Amino acid sequence: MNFYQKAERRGCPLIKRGNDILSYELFGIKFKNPVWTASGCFSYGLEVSKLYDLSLLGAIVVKGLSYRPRKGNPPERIIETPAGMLNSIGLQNPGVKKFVEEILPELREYDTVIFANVFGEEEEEYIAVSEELDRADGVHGLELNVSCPNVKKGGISFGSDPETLYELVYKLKKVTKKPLLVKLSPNVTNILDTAEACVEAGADGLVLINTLLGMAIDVEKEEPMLATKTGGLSGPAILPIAVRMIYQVFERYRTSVPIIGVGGITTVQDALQHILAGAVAVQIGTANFYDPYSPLKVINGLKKHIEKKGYKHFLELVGRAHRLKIG
Amino acid sequence: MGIVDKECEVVENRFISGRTWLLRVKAPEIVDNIKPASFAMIRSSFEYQYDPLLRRAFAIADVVGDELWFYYDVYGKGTKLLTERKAGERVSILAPLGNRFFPEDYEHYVIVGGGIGFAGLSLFMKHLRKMGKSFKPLYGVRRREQLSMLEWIEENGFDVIVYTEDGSFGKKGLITQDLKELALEKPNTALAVCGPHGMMKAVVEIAREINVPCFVSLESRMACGFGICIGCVVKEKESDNYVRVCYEGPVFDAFKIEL
Repeated sequence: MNFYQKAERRGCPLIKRGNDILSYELFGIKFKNPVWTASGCFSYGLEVSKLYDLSLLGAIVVKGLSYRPRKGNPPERIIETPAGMLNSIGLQNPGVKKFVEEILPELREYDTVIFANVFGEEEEEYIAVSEELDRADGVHGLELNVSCPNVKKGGISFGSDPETLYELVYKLKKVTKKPLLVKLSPNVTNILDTAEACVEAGADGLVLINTLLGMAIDVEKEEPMLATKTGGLSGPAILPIAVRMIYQVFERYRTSVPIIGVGGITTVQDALQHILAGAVAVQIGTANFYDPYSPLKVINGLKKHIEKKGYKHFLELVGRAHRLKIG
Repeated sequence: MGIVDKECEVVENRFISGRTWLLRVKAPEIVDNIKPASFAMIRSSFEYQYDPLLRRAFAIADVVGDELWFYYDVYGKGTKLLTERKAGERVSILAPLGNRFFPEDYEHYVIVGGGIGFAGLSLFMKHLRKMGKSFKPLYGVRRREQLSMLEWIEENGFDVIVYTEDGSFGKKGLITQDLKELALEKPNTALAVCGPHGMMKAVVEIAREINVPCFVSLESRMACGFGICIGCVVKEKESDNYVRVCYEGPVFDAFKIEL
């Protein structure tokens, strides 16, 4: 018996097994499978509907939304690195109102769960965005991007200081009744400190991990390749870091705080590492760019893996790498 | 019909000249939906090899039967790896991509292709001929060996004015040198342009000066090619917003964007 099975037996209200081997209810939301697409790697979803039916996905986390529209950064915005890429898109987005009015009506036609990624330059902006999304029909939950620089605190990101993070999450919990997830930044000394701040403040779940800060230099031009010099590293290169951080956070909180794994997943094997480390759902990010069908491949791969291993349900896999005796 | 991701059989992948190679693949699922200036994202590594991680964007230079033809310049890791694909092997191709193409309602076109950029216009030339439109193609490079599409031009019977900067073939000089006269020769003319950044800028300046509509097919560093990464942007003048080359393009009204 693993942690989620035990939690289920105790009658844990957090999670309920569904009829299908991959389906379950979490945060009071029915998920048909645990495979989501990650924010910033899927735009607002509609572009991908030209490739496959979005209803096949467990959930879509839309690209980060601020209150005011953001133009984003000048090019170059993307640089390929060994087994990864750096991006510095600059959170380009049409603003939350335009999203709700013009994009959401089409997106919510699909039979999948929609999480909206939220960011701001100061607390007030986070609050304003969250208020809009709380009212928006078709948005099931919110995911906070806390890697954004806090303008009022000299540009230090919300996600790197536990106290600032606590304040932010605490205030936002009062603004929305929808499930509030916090996407943690790996650019911290100890992920458990920022995880704790979110849990204490009442976050409904943690999303691990956002991109790692990196840089690439053009040796001919002898200057940084990205227009903004630094950018976020994503892709297969960061998989072991994500797995380690999920493992650490699960070790502390077990099933009391759902963890959504993101970082470096392309294949079902990658997803399984996240899941065995403790992720109850996984997000596919950068792989959408080079292998657009990867979310569907992971969904099918999970089904096959569970059947092959003789499990009855996906939840039996979650956190299994911890091998703790339960009794 | 949407975008197809397919492991396509390589028919031929050979060196042409300069740094240019020709890749021909069988793609019966894709060929029917190609528009002039459509492009494809090609994976040069094998599946689940992560270096290079991303696919590369290439103009579809021609559609012959159930084959797609790509003329590509070898510059870096990705394109170098692509040259190693042999006939009979498969390459993963995501296509057709792009949503905005050259307008077809002008009476006459001057086609301005610089270097490998000519491969971004070749399909449009075929299309114009099929529609019975009149057009004058110009093809400019630095040196003769960069004229990698000469064979294609000859086989397809196009009458092209060729420029080389060093005079090693065709007219000596820049592709822009006779452009004013050629663009003003006939009424209701538009320019269709694809090539290196500097050349495109020079062409657009001339077009603006003589007030002739000008459409550019752009290339850019792309991670996805179908609109989700927002990496391949160009600035739209009127809105001052960044728009995606892959999704809002690849063809733009040259007067409306910042090149």
